[in-house]
Amino acid sequence: MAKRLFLEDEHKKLKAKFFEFADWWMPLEYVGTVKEHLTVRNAVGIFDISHMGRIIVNGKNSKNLLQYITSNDINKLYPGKAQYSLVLTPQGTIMDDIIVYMISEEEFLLIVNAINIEKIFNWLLENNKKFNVYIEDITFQTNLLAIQGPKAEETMQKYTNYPLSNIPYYHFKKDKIVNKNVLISRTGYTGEDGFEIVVSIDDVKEIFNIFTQEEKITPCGLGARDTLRLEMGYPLYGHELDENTTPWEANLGWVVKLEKGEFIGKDALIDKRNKKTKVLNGFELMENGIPRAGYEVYNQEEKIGYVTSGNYSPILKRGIGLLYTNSVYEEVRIKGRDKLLKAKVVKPPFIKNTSIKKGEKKNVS
Amino acid sequence: MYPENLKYSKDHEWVKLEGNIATVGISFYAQEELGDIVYVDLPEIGKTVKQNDVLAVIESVKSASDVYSPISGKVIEVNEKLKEKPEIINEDPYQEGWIAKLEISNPNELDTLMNAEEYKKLIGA
Repeated sequence: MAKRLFLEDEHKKLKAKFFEFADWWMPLEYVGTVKEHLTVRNAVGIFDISHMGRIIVNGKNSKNLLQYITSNDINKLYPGKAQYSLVLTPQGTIMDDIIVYMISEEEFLLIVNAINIEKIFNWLLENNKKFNVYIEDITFQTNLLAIQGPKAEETMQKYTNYPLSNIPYYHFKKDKIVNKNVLISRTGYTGEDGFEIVVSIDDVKEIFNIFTQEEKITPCGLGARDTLRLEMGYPLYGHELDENTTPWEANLGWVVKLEKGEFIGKDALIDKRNKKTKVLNGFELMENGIPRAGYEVYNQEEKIGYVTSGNYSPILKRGIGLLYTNSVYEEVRIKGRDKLLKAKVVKPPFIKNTSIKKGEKKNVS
Repeated sequence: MYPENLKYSKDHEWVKLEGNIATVGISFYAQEELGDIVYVDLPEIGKTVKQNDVLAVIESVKSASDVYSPISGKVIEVNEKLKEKPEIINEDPYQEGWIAKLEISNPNELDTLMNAEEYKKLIGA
């Protein structure tokens, strides 16, 4: 049985079409994926992404535990700062990609992928023996809403006294929306400016309804979330990232801080740095068709890789995707259902001028 | 939503017969299930298909789906507009959004298809 969203009835009232994703029964789309996608690129949309896991780590040794089980450097964080990071296996492959929020010197919030909630929670417990911190999965006590698009800030500002422009990219603030306690974070997965809000299930319905009814922020489903992230070339766990993939292969070397001290996977990572077995890149189809995850990739007659994510880009109006190949190519062929489609290999993002301000894109660590 | 003058297949295609020419498309229900249609792989003119053969492929943002020919025949015309604007299938599945016209070879096959009433029962409409 799939896990159910706390706001499922609200989504039904908004005429959501549902589908199962990562063991959750989730809104796929409301008015249609392409329209929702364009709304986020041009105005503002709201996503219920409460399927993402939320785990609290609290105690004197929190920093030490997180430094040990993540690849990025916890010491770069300060209260109010968020950080993109990886949890690695001892073999140096990717167990999850997560965001670490430093709430205070001792308290952290981790946002983990829906499919990995139990795995990461158990991994934390397993490694907690020598650190002895408090770990709690608060996924079902809270909700996570994403308000994304160039108009996110001006729209949300009407409902909070805290000046949202004070929150830089990958920073957050605990404050109020209407009169409800929330954590407002300037993060997202769309390539647009916007916020993600962690809120108690006691208060989420009121906030969600204010945003969707009064202010007409367009509700958007996971369909649009996927096409939006794909246009940015952002990886998705289970597609570009998994336990057969190292950060080097996934172009996530920038999230690995080898100089920070000991952490799980470090030795294997050093060993595997120059032993990449595959190369991650983006591609644009040069002819009509829609690429899909799992399609094979060819150079002449030789199979050289596979597509990890593929779809239609509503902005470029053509098929785009991400792929792993055994080497670097400029042009490849994607084997669709029964044809070979010519594709140009390009470095993501596919869309350059989005509302995430220039220079901020890198400020995630 | 489901015009009375059409016949429907269990795979959610519709047929309109005029003389020995059958116009084929997908039903309102099918386009709604598919979501935003972004590409249609149309058949070659002159291609011969048997009933239930793959006639075309429709790609939506969700998935790729085969369109099965509800009737046997030879493709004599395809809807060229779909090349530029595949979304017209979403907007108008029975008129502007037709997919192909076939010169049919066996009119008896029409009896194997459903009328609007039976089709609505199938999809629970």
